Amino acid sequence: MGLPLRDITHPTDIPWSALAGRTLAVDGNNMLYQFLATIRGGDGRPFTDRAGRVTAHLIGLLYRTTSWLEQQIRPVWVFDGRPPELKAGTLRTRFLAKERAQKAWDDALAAGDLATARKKAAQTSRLTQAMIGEATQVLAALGLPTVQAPSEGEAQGARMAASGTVWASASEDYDSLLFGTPRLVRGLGSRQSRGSARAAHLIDRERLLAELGVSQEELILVGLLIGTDFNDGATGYGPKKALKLVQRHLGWAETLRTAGIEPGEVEEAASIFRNPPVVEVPAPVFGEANEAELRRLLVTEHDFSEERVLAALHRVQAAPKRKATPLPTPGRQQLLDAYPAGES
Amino acid sequence: MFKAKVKMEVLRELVEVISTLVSEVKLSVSKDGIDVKAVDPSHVAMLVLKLNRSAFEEFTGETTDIGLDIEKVKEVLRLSKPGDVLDLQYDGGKSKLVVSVGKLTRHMGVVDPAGITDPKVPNVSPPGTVKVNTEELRQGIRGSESVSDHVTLELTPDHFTMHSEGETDRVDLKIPKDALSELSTKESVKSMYPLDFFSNMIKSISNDEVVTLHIGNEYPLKVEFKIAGGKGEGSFLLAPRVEED
Repeated sequence: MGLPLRDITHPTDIPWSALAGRTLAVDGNNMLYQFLATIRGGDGRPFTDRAGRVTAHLIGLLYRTTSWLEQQIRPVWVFDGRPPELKAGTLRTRFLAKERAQKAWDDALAAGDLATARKKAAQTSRLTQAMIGEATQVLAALGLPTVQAPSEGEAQGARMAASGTVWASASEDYDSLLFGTPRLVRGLGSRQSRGSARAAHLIDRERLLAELGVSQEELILVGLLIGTDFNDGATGYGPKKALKLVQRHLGWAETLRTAGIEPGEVEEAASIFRNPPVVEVPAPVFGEANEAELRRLLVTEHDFSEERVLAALHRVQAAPKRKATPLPTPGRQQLLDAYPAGES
Repeated sequence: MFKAKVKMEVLRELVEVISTLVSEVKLSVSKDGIDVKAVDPSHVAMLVLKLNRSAFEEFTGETTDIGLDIEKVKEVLRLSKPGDVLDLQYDGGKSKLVVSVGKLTRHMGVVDPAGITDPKVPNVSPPGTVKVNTEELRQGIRGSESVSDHVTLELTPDHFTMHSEGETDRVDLKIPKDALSELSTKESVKSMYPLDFFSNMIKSISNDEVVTLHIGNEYPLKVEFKIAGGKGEGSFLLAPRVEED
């Protein structure tokens, strides 16, 4: 479910306008999953069309993507391929957690506890291949490129950012940093922020490594100590404790052994971060939206309001073209008040 | 009570420098001239300025404070032409500042000076000093503005540099010691400043060919300049950007 690195990273808040004109590799599975978890009715049921098919992922996709496009943010959605075998344990755990959440949701509904129902319902979200297929069709109708990763989407996005095909990775998970993305943008899928003041958070990997005083290999070590999708982690190690140990620079094997892990146990997990299966993709091509196709996919197939779909599309078409504003300056602006007054 | 005649150019210089930081200002009049202290609303930059009575064609002043809306003064300046002498009269209290230029008179509503922040001027003395040609600085600023929104000023015993760095581009203005009329620093010092403030400050100093920069390490910048052909002097202070803790 992503590494809990929040406490040790120091993101820069950037307005959406600073992302104008920039191309981002969007962690598609991560983003669609968020939509499924959050776009739900009061009892926790996901939004569906008249035939009872879930549409939450498409609702989120349409409105979120068009609001990016309005700001001239150019998304390349990247979807997961076949998961690494080491992820099987994680996937199994998630499956069981969903089963438990389903039971808790049913119980809460029976007891009339809507708050708990909604919370538990979010945890039952399942993203299916059919949903990804639908999302890909909608993105194509919006004129946007998509990329099918051979394995982990975050690894693919990180590769694209590292090679300059895109400017940054966009994901809520920190794993992208372990996969070596030079820049990670978080908060783009958030519903918290609205209007022109919408802010995202940018983590510059080089800057992060410099701040933490660790190398990329050591950052991977931090992840392995905490536990990743591909290994369980050391008992009792959270982000801060893991970082503290790694900052002692004991070397790969010694660090792991100090935390009670045999280096051999995590070698395969480490190699997934170092050399994940990725494909080289050509420069993304952004085309025009196909209004008729969008209407067919969303209005005819899934009972979306035609008026709202077209309004979203027209907002994109009417949005003023703008260039990227410079990224915020590093450091903090001091005030003159910080210096003692000499005279009144 | 305040009565003065002043050349349009002198008043324009004063207004340009003040409007860099504030839209309302308190002029502290005394028998010796006019003093101004102003801090921008974000408290990042400050101006301390003195215009001697000799800068005026005629000057009679008793100690009084006049609160001015700078935009109104600019409006009057736009009605005057180079070489004009403006006549200023103020009786104190809540009466108006009467400004005459030629046959035109404007009775200008004043601002209550009590409502204008009286800044506490920080006692800063940056260790490095350099005198730089204003035109060269302006060129450096124009170069920097296209790549970044901040600028780093650095002074070593051998040279003065000003550089700006964007995501992809970098602009450097480097002036060796022998091309400067003064450079004195015992060690290398360097600070980063917000470019918009620095740019507006240097651009507002229209008639001084050389400005004096006092620079330290992650320390406020002090820019000293002369106005009214040396019959007044001012200094800007600008707080630095510092590395996050």
